Amino acid sequence: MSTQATPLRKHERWLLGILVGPSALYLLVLFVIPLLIVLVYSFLTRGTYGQIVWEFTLQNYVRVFDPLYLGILWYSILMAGLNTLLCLLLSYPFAYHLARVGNARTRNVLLTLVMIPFWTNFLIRTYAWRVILGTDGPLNGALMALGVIEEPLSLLFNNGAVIVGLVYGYMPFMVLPLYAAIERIDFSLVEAANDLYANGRAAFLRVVLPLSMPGIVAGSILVFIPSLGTFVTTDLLGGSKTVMIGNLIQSQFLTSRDWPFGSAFSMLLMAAVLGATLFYFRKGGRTL
Amino acid sequence: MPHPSQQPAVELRDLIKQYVDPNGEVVAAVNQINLTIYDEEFFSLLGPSGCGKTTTLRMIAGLDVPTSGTITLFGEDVTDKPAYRRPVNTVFQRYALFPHMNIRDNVAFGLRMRSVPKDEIGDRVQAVLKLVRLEKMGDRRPSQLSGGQQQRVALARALVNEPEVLLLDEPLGALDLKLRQAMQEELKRIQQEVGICFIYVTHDQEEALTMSDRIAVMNDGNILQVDRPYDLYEEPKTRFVADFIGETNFINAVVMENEGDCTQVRLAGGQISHVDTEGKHLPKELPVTLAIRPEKIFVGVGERPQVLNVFEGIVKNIVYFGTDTYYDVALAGDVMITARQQNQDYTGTAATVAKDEPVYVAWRAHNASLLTE
Repeated sequence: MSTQATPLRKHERWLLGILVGPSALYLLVLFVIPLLIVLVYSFLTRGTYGQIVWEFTLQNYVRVFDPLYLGILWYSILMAGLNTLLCLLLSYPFAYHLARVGNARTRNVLLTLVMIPFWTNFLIRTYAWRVILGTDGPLNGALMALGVIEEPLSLLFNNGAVIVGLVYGYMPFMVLPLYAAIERIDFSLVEAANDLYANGRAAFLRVVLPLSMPGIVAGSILVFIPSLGTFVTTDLLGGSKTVMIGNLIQSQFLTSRDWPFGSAFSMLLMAAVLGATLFYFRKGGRTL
Repeated sequence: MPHPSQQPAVELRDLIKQYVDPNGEVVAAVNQINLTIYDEEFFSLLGPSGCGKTTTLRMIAGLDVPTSGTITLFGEDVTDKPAYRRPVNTVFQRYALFPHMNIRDNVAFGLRMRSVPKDEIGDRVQAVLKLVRLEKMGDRRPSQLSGGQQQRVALARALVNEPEVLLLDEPLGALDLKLRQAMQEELKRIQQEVGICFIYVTHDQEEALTMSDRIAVMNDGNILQVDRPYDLYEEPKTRFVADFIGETNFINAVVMENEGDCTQVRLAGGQISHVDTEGKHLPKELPVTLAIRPEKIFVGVGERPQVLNVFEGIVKNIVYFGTDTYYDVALAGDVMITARQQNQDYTGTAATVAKDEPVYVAWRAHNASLLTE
């Protein structure tokens, strides 16, 4: 089962260096070093004019654990979690259908449809929702024309609008890993389950769903993590009270010019993501 | 009829399964077949790939829906019942074990689906794992087992439910020769131990012959012959059956005389051959095919044996197979005959006669048969 790692020969090590070197260098310069800078900054002090003062302090972390900020973190986790759940519920039937379509042409068309939104800038697509959900937007217009409502609904600048924007933006990240996982499932296993007295529902719950787990886990992580730190969607579609942790970090860096505090917050976000991911892997990992 | 039981387990009546192929044409996978399979019987569906045997099995399992016709299980019409309501279980060709469950959970699956009490599930799973000699493997995953072990898990997973009929779809196809032979014996032992009807799909004629009580030979969606193994082998009713099961010499002939139990036919070189047709007389001048198995033909030099069919020929080719040697002998009129002789006595050569040597070939009248289709 396990493959024994054999020591590399000299020319193989050389080749490995050439192949891995560029990406390792890229990650080091553009990922590891900036991350270390953020870590260091989070222990420094903000000067009067927003500059960094090289003075060690834990004050930033003390402030982070202020109930107000923890509330925002909790709210962000809830929103990201709800987004993940909705993406999963909406994507699964589609991904299942996609994986089971026999015709390769139809499948490619459907896959392209999933990816078409990526061709347009995320910001512009989110702006489009402002138009759609606006007081005199097409949705309100249609509902009024149909006589469903008398007055336009205020669909924008609330949690609902943020969730709509998030689900819209992140669904493809759920569909693709789900599709990949379901497509790999050997559906003769479903026949075996039917043969062993499982009706359609039981066969789905006990065979197809557990075997989709790798896709569910991958898709959930791909959706949960970026939506936890999002700030564009909340900025454009959320109201003044809808502040997620991403907005908070953004404002610390850009508005308040308190880089050390923003850095401490970023570290907290990373810790939250790491914790959630580990928890999720442990939960889902059993069936992988 | 020497069936293990007289109780019909599975009855297929006018069963048809049609598909629409990618070109939009209707193709019959199973072409109006009728079949009765008895309880406690080891029954094989034998035929080349695409002959409809697997489709037939899947219709009995409820995994394929027949286009028309009926399927009856122990007197009950189950044609419209879904697979999960039929008292049959299947051993799938590539086992289809659930990769996310250990062996015990795989085997317990059917019992859990039918809400069997927990204690009883544990006992029954353990008992059936013992039956297939895997009692120590319960905690492993399917991927940690060898092909032969996976095959036995698939068998246990089906048998634990105590089905009325067990369906097996080429279950030994993925195993190597030695393991396959061992599993053949094992399957036969288990079938006799549990005493239920096994329906076994295979394209391997040897497998079918060694294990089955009866065999149905299928081709192109039709059942050509249903018989006990030795009847099938010794008295094939069609050229296809004679050709598919074992090896056969097919010699074009024309009917000359019917005389007592025997029919005389004329071969291409003018030779007269006697065939025991058990008194079934054929019209004169009817073109027929004389079928004779290679191992029924004796090749020799010197003194002629006292049998009705003895012909002169020249050895054209000799192929040595270890246990046997094959001799291709050309008779007058370019009639080619292959004879197979067991190498009972090793005399320092691969063959008892040499190539290009004149020999005689001989066979008894009752070992040949005449085929008209």
